[in-house]
Amino acid sequence: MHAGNSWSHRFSLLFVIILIAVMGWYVYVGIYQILPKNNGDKTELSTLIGRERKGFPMPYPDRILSGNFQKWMEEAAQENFPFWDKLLPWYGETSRILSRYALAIFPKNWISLYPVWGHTVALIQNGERIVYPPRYYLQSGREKLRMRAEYYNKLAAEHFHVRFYVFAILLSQDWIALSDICISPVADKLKGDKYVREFRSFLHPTIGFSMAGENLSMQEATSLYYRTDHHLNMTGAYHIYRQIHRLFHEKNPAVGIAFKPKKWILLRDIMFYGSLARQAGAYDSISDVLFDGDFRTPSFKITISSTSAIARNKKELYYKGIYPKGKFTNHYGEYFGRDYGLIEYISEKPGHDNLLVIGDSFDNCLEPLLAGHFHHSYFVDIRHYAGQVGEDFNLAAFIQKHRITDVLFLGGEGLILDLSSLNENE
Amino acid sequence: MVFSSLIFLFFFLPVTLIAYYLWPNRTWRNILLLAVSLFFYAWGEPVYVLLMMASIVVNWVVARIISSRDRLGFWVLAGGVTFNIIGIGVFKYSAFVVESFNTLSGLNMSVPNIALPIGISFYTFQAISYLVDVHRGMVMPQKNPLFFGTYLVMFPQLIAGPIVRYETIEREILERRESSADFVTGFRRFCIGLGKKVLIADTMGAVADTLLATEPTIGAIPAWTAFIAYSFQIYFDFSGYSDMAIGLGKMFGFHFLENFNHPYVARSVKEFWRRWNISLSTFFRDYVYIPLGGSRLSRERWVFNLLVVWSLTGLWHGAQWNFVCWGAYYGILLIGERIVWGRALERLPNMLQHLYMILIILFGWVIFRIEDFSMMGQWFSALFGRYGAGHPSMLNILNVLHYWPWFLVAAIGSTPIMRLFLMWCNNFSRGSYALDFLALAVFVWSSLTLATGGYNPFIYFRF
Repeated sequence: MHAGNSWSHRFSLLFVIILIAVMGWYVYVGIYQILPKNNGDKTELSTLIGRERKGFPMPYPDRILSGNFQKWMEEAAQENFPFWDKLLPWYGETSRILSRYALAIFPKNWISLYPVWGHTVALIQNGERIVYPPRYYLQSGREKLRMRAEYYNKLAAEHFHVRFYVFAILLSQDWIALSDICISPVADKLKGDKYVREFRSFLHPTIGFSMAGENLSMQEATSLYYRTDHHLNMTGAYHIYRQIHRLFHEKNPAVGIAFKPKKWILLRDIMFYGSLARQAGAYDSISDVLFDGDFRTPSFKITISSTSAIARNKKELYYKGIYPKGKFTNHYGEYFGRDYGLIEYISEKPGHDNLLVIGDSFDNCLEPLLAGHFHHSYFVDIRHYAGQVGEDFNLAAFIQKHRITDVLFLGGEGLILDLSSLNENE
Repeated sequence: MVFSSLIFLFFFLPVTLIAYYLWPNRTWRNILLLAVSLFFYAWGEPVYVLLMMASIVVNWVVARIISSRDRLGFWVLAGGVTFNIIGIGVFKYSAFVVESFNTLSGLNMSVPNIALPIGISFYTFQAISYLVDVHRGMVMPQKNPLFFGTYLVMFPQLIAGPIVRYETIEREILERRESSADFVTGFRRFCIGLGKKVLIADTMGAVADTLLATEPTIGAIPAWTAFIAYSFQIYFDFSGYSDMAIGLGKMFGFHFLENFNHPYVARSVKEFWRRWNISLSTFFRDYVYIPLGGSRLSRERWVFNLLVVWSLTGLWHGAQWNFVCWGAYYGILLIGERIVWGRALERLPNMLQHLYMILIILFGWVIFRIEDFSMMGQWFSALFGRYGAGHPSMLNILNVLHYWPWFLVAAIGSTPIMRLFLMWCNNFSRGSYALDFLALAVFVWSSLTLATGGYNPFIYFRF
């Protein structure tokens, strides 16, 4: 390639120099960030241009040698993308439109998913819900599943006096793979369900197992979740609570009968755009309503990470109309309460049965329902435990210390089926 | 650090360019290039940069000794080459050798767990070519170790090639002239390479990886889609990196040789390897095949030479038996073309010759991609319909159907049409603006893709 005549060549050179100068602006941003400010690692650029960004890390030698500095720099580079902010949603929207037009030429019965933002999320069923694209387990996943099942079996053998339950909330990837009932003509080729069944077959029979969406149609399983958020909505949470209650009741009838909703509470004024909407590039064509059930569970004394001063949730404030008004506010986290390392519920219910739930954000909305069947319930989120409680989580020691009678593993794929930090802490 | 990252595009590259052009002195520019190249490498391999520095020192010293001692030159060369081969052998092939030995012998020797230094295959081969060329008297040894270091580890070609011979840039190291025309065309070439990598190769990679993460029972249509996508991924990934390397080289005043010449339009295996990874195939031709005797010996010896060379070519790509088989596959096909069906092939219509070669390339990528031989057999079975056709809607369920326009882009981009278009643009006085616009659009769109965390696999860690 030649640069053409002298004028166009000068233009091209100027153009390239300007572009490199624009790229160089980022260097200024980077150096500005690296220079120690009040607290070294925190970005101050967010205060200048009004958006929250991850700061650039300080280049300490140990960080450089471990590769963490480089990794964090690259993450920060992503957060501090130097072009105009609005380009990003524009890019996402353009990608979505191009993708939808690309699909328009195919027969409608081929199309069950619509891409929203590259590979991240997809619209399903003509905009009824945003979901993750279906996932499946890789070849290596089968070995992981077997090891995970062995881990549960080992726990059950070592703590034979404790009742163990595993409840998996597998989102879209596996309800697509609930092959018998999925509308897709080829869904039986997907392996997720097959591997979950295989996982179940590895588990010792004394361990109760179930999963969200089991025996439901795709449509029904979809309705368990918010349309724009990966969490369960209250209908879904109640459905799953009933499944878990059946597991409890089969092994221990003393848990009593399941709670029933006296009424449903709808928070009419709140437009909820959940995590998937946020990930989909501020996608706001569809939204959710926030609702809850009045289950008349027993009263509880709640402590969070051994501190009773923190409110578990903001339900009462919401009922009074006091809640964050940001468009993409995480209402799920605000209304039901955020994730904590350790939450304890002490119920009015007398007895000696103590429940330990090892879970994640999926069980935030289920806590009162589950805790209502036990005298003392502990909800542990491994991801936050060490940081908030001040010690590594040790399951055996916890069971012994708190006289746990029932252990429920309740959460998403990463927690239930994959090898997670739980094993590392054991 | 890789070129297709925001940290490279918006930190490393502008800082390096600005610093480079602020230095008026050639010597200091070379030293700066060496320093930033070591920094570039150390970004991902902070410890292995020491290995690279050792390689610079040893090869520089060995070359100096070779040139100064006529009688012992060959043995010093042998020692230098052995040093390089031991280096790559330990870091790249030791685990492979022990595993293979365990499998064959039934023993259970512990397999060394050594991380592969990225780019070791490229800079080691450059060092070997340098030593041999010095011994052959084709180039004079570089007196300045810093300049030699600049040649060996210059960041544009450090981690993904092309394998640059010293003779290519010998003069430019000392007396190159950076020009604004080179700078502009280099930047455009870099942008096009970035687009090939980020927009086409990564998209094709997402399709291929998604489909190949299922099982062969998925059916023939998804299987063909997967391997066609993989064929495009590996071509655009590798040639995109080569374009970026050549473009960056031009921006700094170096002129690397072309590494790809539209290999998918080849009509025979021989032609394919004249167009694919040219720097590697010429390396093996000049430093292995011809020293072994090439085709001047008996037919049996020629066949042996060819199989050795192509097995080594395969092994260079990765320490796995499937890579050896992939190399041998091409060796056998070359032999077949030469002595069995070559003339018959030439008499076929062009279209059938292209079809023949496309199928050979695609089947080759199956061997290249699938490490497990049993799975490889199953994927071949899937391609030939053993598990049925598979429903195309599966492609939508796996969220890859909407990428079909990218297959068209990739198919067109694999032919010389794009190059002809760019040359045509240059014929017009305003064509330069069109090229600037195209480069800018590709750069911005690629940056946006990177900024939104698009799929960006790095497939050179084996090489």
